[in-house]
Amino acid sequence: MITTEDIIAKLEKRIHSFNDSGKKLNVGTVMKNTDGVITADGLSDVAMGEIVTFENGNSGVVLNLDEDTVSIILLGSQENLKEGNRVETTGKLLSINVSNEYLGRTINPLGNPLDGKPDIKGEKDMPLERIAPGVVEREPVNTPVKTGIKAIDAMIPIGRGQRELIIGDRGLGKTAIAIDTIINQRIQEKGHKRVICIYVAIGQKRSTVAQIVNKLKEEKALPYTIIVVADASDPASFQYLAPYAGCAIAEYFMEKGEDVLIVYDDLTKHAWAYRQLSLVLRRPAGREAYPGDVFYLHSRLLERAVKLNKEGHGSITALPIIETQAGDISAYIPTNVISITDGQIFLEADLFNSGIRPAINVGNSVSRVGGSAQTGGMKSVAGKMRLELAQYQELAAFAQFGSELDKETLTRLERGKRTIEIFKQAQYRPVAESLQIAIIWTVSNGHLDDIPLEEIQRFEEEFSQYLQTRHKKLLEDLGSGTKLTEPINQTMEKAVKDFKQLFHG
Amino acid sequence: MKQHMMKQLIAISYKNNKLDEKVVFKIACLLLRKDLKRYVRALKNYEKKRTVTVSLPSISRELIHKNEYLLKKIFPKKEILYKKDPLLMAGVRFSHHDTIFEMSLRNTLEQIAAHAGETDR
Ligand SMILES: Nc1ncnc2c1ncn2[C@@H]1O[C@H](COP(=O)(O)OP(=O)(O)O)[C@@H](O)[C@H]1O
Ligand SMILES: [Mg+2]
Repeated sequence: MITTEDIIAKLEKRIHSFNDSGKKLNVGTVMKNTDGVITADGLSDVAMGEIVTFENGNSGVVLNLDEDTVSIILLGSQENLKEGNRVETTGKLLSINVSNEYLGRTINPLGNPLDGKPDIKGEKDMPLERIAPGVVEREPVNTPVKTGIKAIDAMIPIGRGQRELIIGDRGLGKTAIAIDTIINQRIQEKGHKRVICIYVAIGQKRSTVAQIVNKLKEEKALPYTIIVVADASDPASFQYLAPYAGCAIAEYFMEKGEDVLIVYDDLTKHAWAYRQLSLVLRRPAGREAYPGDVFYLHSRLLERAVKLNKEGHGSITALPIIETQAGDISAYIPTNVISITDGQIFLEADLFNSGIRPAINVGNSVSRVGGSAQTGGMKSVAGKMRLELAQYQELAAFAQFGSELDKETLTRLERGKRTIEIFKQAQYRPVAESLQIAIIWTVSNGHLDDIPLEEIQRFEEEFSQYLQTRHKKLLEDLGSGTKLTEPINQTMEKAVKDFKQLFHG
Repeated sequence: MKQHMMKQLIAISYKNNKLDEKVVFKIACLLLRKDLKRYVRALKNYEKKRTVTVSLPSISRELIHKNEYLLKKIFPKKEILYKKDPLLMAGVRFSHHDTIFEMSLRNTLEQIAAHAGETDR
């Protein structure tokens, strides 16, 4: 039994131990400030990535340890910071205090709101830098993130826990694909586990980000989305930290068992920000003036995308975006990021300009997880269609030269053209999986061969409406996630035939 | 100027463990402004490294005398400098180079307060 005396004795002991433990501080002095990068001396006990506080109340992160100086990137304003000011170590690593309340908010990389709404109360400190889960903690990718974009879901499926790069020149719809994917997560199909979305905007114009936030709000995508912004006018240090902050938030939700989708838009600008910091830090510059560790910059970020194998644990799916110059994917940053992702969606200017939008070059785009990230229903129709499309592309190249083509070749060419036509899709118009399966089934079973090319899009639209009003049960079956059975195929066939009579009549 | 040259300059600035005024001014006259700045900073740093500052709320000859032997033993080869800091409640602060160690009533009170705050939650 514990007596009162015991308790008091314990407390007294505690007070003694307080007396023993004095406060130990490690301090330094500011030597200079170059563009928000502070050089300080002293601080011999500081660790890489540790937070330090300045005399004026500002804080910073240690990014370089030299023989007798330390480089610190500022996390606040440079005002009132003078040479000779005192800096103190804190013993804490940079982290962000995350909670459920982050959902629907627009924040900066430190977790401060940018949307004019009140401050967000955190619940758990998540470190910005963290070692990615090891091999034993990972599970193979087996569940899709449905993008609602027909070409992607059918041919380049993205699995939960995967890293899929979106790459292409400026203005080809990279952001559009990412935003459409976020919008599509509002679906509430049976058996669909929700996906929390995080959009990290790095070095973009403030007006562009505002438009995106507005669009997400309009499309009712905000309640499950968090937007982390370090725009072009923010210091390079913020742009450098933004993706790590986004990832830390993603990890908070993943640990609670949620599936998270995170978009880094874009890592080219992230690499620029890092290059700028490195030049100020006087790190030796290598190829294209990037510092030698620019590869590590992105690999340690993207390695944190994972599907955990523990029961009740979630996943992080990463969609990094890279902007190329004149389609050059052999530049330094693109090649680096291609090598550390599980696949890429390659956008091409020629396609975009000839009206094929989204301008995905299917031949060059891959997803290394392939069919394992597709539902049974999609798998049933996608395989055949892909094969036909590949044949078409080969034939189309030949057909330019030959004049006389046999009937079978002609049919194949016509079918190929129609397949490409159904993969055209407007922005902000995600398509449910059941409807995707329906239209792919229709084209690859030859039911569109007699529809004029110009009418394909109208056909698809009206057919979708028809199915939604008259064939709810069929759509349910198509979207159930299981393979298409013979009875389903028959119902499908009948539905198409019935609709075609209406369409022609 | 290279780092090791700066270190040599610092080394020759001292004679018998005391800063040699003549040498220092000679060096100062020869250095460019930029290097002079570094030299001053290096001197300051060197001073900080070789001295231990003991801050006390009040200083008396008696107190210094009583602790001299002990301090010399803990910090051999260091200059010991006493400084008065009335803000230190019933305590003492040792500063050496970039490390500060403080034991005071205020500190203890703050720790207890922090601890109480933690257990409150
Ligand atoms: N599927 C699409 N259909 C029609 N227009 C599109 C489509 N996707 C993108 N766009 C348009 O292309 C332009 C560039 O898109 P954006 O996503 O901002 O490109 P990026 O992020 O590659 O620079 C925008 O005006 C956008 O509206
Ligand atoms: Mg963009």
